[in-house]
Amino acid sequence: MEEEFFDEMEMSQQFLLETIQSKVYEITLSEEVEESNNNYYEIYQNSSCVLLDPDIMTKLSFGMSLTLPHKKVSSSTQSKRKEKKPKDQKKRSQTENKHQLSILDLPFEILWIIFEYLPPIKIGMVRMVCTIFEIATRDQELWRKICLQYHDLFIWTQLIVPKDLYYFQDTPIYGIQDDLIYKLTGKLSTIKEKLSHNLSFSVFPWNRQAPSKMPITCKRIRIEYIKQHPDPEMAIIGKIKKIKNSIKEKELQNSKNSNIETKYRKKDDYNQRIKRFLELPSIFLLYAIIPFTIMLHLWIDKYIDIDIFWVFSPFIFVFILGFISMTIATFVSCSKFNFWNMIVYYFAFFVLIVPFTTVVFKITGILKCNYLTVFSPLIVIIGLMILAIVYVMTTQHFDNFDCFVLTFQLFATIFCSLLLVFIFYLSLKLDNQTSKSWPMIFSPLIIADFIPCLIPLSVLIFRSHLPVRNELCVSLLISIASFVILIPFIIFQILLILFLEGEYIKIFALVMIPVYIFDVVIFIIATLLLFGRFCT
Amino acid sequence: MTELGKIKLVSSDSQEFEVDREVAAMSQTIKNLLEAIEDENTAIPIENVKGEILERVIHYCEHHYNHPSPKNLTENENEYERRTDDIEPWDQTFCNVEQPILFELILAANYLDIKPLLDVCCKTVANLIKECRSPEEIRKRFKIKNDFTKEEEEEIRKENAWCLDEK
Repeated sequence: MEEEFFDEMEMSQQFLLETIQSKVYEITLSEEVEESNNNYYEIYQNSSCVLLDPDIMTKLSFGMSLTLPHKKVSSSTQSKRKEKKPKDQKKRSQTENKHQLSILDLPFEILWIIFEYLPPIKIGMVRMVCTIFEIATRDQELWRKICLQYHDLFIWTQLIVPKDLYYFQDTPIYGIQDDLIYKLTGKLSTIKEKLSHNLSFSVFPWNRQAPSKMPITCKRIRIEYIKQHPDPEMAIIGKIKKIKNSIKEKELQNSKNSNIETKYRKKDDYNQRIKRFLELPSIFLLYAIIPFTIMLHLWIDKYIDIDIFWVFSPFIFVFILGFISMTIATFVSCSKFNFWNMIVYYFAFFVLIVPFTTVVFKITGILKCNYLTVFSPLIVIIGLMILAIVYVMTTQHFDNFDCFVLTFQLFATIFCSLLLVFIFYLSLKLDNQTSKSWPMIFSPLIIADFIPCLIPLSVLIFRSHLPVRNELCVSLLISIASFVILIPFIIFQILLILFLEGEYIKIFALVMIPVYIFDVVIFIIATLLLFGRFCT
Repeated sequence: MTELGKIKLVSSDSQEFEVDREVAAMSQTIKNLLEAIEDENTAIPIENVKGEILERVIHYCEHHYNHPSPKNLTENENEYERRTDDIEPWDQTFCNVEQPILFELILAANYLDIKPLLDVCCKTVANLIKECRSPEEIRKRFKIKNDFTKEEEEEIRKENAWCLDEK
């Protein structure tokens, strides 16, 4: 190290001698000149350092100017300079009157404080200014702090997690990666779900911008990691192998971790089963539509002479099933937060059941009030839904990915508003309060029906903002499927309008044809869901 | 003989300043010195700071002692956040000086360990850098000589092309 330092000094000395001979004087020599132990004179000019022979020194006088090479300071020189710092400061104070301070005279510690206030792009720019800035901006700690500050824009890739995430797909589920990530947050299952988004990322150098499609969750994981690994040395990509080995050793040494992991895994599986159990009533709800539509048709055409209550009985059965499954799930769930989820489920359940009950009671004749009153709980619920969506839309933080969510919310608001108008018109019509024709009454509903058809379009528009290809495919498939399901439903509405008008269609069975097609589609979907959820 | 509750600071160019003890104690360095010195009348030498700069530093400390900013009293909301747009108007005027003086103030604040002053000066310098749109502008503003060789410059530009693309 010492030899390297002196080699550099000798080269600089040669340069200095040549400079003196060529009589190029630019920078005042008088600053920071001192006699070193070996009778050489060390001259510090910013980060450059020259060692001057006493003979040459005698040829120079203070106040004379020289052009010194701004050589990059080697680590040895830097350390040497650090040792010299107190003396530097002394000399500086002696020569202050002759020299005006510039930004380059500031020590690195202060330059780093200044740079910490700069956005990463400006730091990158600063690197190109001069050698001193270039050296100063190489500091890992500076970048660690910058990345903590600009984590949504920047990545500090001298950390091993992204690399591991990259290979997550091909490695065993409970491998090293999980162990690492588990240590980050302690919530293995949640993180693992989030990690499914991270597979498409590769490694970027430390001073590169994060990809625009990078999910926020991934950035947060990175931040957690940076926070917990303040030592950059630990995170150098070249040391991944070493770190992995040490983790393996740790795994062997500490069996507790694996026990916790197994415990979490079991807990995850258990919660997953409960979740599936809760999905059961929603699948039965789809099945319930089929007997309901058949019985409704038979009841309207007077093929069967039963109370309307029995026509609605499939739904009543599903509601009871839902209530029972929710109650069981509340008591058997091992997660403490599930209790609040259940409260929300119960609330949603009652919100659904109230308008349904009022309608059934009105048809059966138990309720004597007008239809506007009967539909009022439904109107209130839809109104509250609109308010909730609008509230979420106005308060949420948007980023690229949210463009899709925003469009979806916008469509949902329009859909709910149109539904609200339809229910209001329908209640007026049923109460004989309006002379509007049936097509006019149904027009908001038909317009609303076309809104789900716009979803595939929005998916196509915002496909570039979706984080991964899989998600795009799934969204498209769901949208196309809902569109296909809607077609018979829209035809049914049109036929119903024609039937209610009483001029074009006289047979109710004709109106019910699309409903039966719809029933077939519903049956297929419900069966697929049932097998998908409970047989895999 | 100094007044009661006052101390004497001596700058590197032997200028003497009489300051309230509590005002001076805003500097951690002076505070530590005061704790170490038994005789209250001893003048404290501030060897690394010129009289002109020390006067400004004292002015800053006096102002902030008499007008403590609410922000200083509370903890930073986000420990990693580094903002430069929150400099108070008085501080902005205070830091609106020539660059050499600003750097001297930074060095003085660093030596005297006055964190708020150091922060505000560094923020001012950071703002000056932020205003520049290119490395050339930074060089021009801070009168820095481009000491890269052509090859070095090309290499470093290539390495940092990502920040030049940004508009």
